[in-house]
Amino acid sequence: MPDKQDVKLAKIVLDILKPHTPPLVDFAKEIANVDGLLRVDATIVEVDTETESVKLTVEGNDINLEKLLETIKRMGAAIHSIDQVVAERPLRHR
Amino acid sequence: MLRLIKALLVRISRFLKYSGKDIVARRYFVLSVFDGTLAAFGIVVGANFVRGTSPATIVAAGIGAAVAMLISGVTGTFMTETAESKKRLKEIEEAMLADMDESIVAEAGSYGAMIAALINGLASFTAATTVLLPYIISLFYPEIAGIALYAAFAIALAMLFTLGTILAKVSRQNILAMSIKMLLVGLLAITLILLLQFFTG
Repeated sequence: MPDKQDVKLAKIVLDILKPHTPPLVDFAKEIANVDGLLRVDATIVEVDTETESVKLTVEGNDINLEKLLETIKRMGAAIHSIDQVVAERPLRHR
Repeated sequence: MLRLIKALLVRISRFLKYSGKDIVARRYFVLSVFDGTLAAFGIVVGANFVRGTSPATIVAAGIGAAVAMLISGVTGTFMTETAESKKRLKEIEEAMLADMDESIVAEAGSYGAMIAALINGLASFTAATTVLLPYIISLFYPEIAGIALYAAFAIALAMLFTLGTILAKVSRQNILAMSIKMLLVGLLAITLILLLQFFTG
């Protein structure tokens, strides 16, 4: 049985609220620099006067969740909820 | 080295963009170059009306004015833009219902104000010293003192013309028309200085 450390995060879907700056392209690029990320999908869900709600889907082979949340906050966004998580066990344990 | 400069420029442009001060900085740049050019040229033209004014006196008066513009531009803009950034951050924080002091938005606000202030101060200082350049050179090569006024005049008009070109490109207007407009403003300023000198003796 693999221990918890062996389980890797492969996909996380977050509901976030961010100001209009930094723009979505810069925001997604900065998030894509987080360790273990291979793909970032940022979709605007709602636009307000000062803010925008974004559905952020990140995929990778071993997502560093702590770094991901830290980067999101550093980019000025607030995390509303983590809506989906895909965790994988390494092949040797399957 | 080149990569370092490029990275620094990317960082500066990002701070300006995120803080919304990119347009403000461009406006400050144009205004300050205009101010610096006309102020220095005003000193040059005015000083030439007094018989026996040496290039050293003109350079001293001009550099004094340039330094004063540098200090006033940097400090005044920094205080104004920092206050604007803080106000903007508070508005965003209220909308986000979160403290954003540690975010890139707050960081961009502080650095953006600093960069805009430096652009404002340095633009007027550089413009003024560029117009004074023929007089500065004439301190080392006195033989060119005779043509320093004409050289300063040419530099000032060339700078105004370039400024017009930049403005036309930004506003997508006719480059030649805008550049000539700027030239005319410069000539108007010079005419007023000459008239003032004429009436005050």
